[in-house]
Amino acid sequence: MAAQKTILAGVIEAIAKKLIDAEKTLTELDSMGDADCGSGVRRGFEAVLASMGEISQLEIGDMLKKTGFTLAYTIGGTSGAMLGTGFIETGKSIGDIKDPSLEDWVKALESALSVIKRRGGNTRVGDKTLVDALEPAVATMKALLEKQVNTGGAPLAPDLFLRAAFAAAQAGSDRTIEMIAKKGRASYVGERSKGNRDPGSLIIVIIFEAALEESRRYQ
Amino acid sequence: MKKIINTPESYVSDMLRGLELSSPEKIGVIHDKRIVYRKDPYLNKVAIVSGSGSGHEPDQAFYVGKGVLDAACAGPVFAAPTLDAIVDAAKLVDRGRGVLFLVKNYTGDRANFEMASEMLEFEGGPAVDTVIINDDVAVKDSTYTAGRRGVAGAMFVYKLVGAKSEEEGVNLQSLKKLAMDVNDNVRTMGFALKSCTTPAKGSPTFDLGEDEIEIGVGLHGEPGRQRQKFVQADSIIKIITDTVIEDLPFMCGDEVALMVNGLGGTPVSELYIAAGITIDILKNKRIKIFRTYVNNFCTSLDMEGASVSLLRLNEEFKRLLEAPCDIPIKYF
Repeated sequence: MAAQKTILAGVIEAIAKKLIDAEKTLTELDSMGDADCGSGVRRGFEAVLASMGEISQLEIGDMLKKTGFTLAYTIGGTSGAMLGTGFIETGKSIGDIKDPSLEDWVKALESALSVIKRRGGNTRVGDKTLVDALEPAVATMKALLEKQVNTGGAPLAPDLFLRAAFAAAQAGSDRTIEMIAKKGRASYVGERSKGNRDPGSLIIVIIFEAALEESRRYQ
Repeated sequence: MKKIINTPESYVSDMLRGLELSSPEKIGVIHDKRIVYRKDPYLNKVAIVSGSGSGHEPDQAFYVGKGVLDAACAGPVFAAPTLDAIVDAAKLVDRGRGVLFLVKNYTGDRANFEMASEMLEFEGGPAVDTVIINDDVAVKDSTYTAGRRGVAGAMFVYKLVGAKSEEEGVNLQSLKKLAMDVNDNVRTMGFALKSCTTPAKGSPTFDLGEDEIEIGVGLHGEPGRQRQKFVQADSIIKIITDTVIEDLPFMCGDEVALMVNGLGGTPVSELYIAAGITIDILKNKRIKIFRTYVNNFCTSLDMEGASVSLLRLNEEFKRLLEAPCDIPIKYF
């Protein structure tokens, strides 16, 4: 199997391509905000693709950090800050670990989730944000891991992990459709924000989907 | 909407252009990043940087200059400045002694300043530290909200910290401590008589009935503590002033600086009516007033209303309050 570093570089590239393709959908979903989500995300991930040569040379922690800073820098606004934070905090938690275990990854994603929640103004599930997709995904991975440790079962395949996370993120994102936004600009329109999927939650779904598809290529 | 604007899109850039042309000897503007920076040469001091959405002028672009801020990042109207602008501003004004960010407590502002600090650390840029300003007593601190907001009391933090940064040998850590100390001793409460109108929307941000006022309104028209029937000045100002006094609390014998701040659409004459009432209340409680400042210091576009801030003073605060400064809004 390829080194994790190589897989991660492939995953980042796959995420970028998938999110650039989703520009139109994201823009439409953001009509309750300021409708700049799709173009911002495209701009951000085009910048990531442009520096892929440099990013892919870095170790895992720095690879994630550099991706996050590039996103935050080019997307701008709160959505850029939150998406960037996700990658940066995951990278910070991985730190110098060259071949992170599933435990390391879950811990890193947990820490990213908690910083996103705090930085977004104590965002909670139900506020109609990316947290509605990210929190269940991380919780699902954590539960799988704990179950494996408690039962002393065979080590879990990363594929199973990502599949479960993707499904949880998808279900969480679906739940945002009926929610009334409590954070961000969409919160100013109150009831009218109902009926639309939160674009941030869709970004999380697409990230897990891309990671799942890309990692399968290396098996 | 009848306003002195060309287009909503050019609102902030046109305003910054006017600022730059009016005070060419004091400040410069990097237009594509909306950074206002101090132009006079300075060396060997910690740089002070602030930033927030535009629409609160003179806060904070107009407080850039010797003795107050070294740079300010102006976001779009009521939206946080971007990460790249904050990073560039920090690099621009750093003189090797580090940079202190003074940030009013709003989610977007905090997020972008935090990210900028991390970015600068990642890049090995200037050392930075941040103090969050949260003087608004209208919001009860709770785990469910972003906490108390930063409002007009921030002006005292800028002024005192800026003055101190000009003194010899003052380092980043001691300035941070001073900023926190000032923030701990300042309290503000505001009220709105009429909503503001943002250039992009062109209609009032919130509805307030002809006979209603919003007590504890936020700088962007966020709801306050309560909406109540309009009453005459004596009653409104008493509610506001008493709430501020009781919060710290300010006690008999304390010495304070008083700021009566207009929210943008209220005549200065009305602000002085408010000031008179507040001063009477303070005198009755034997709270000693060292200085009173009455004007538009931190506004919400054309919102009608005002806020009252009190800063509890010590000898050092008094000295820093009186220290000279040279900023664009100075009169004569």
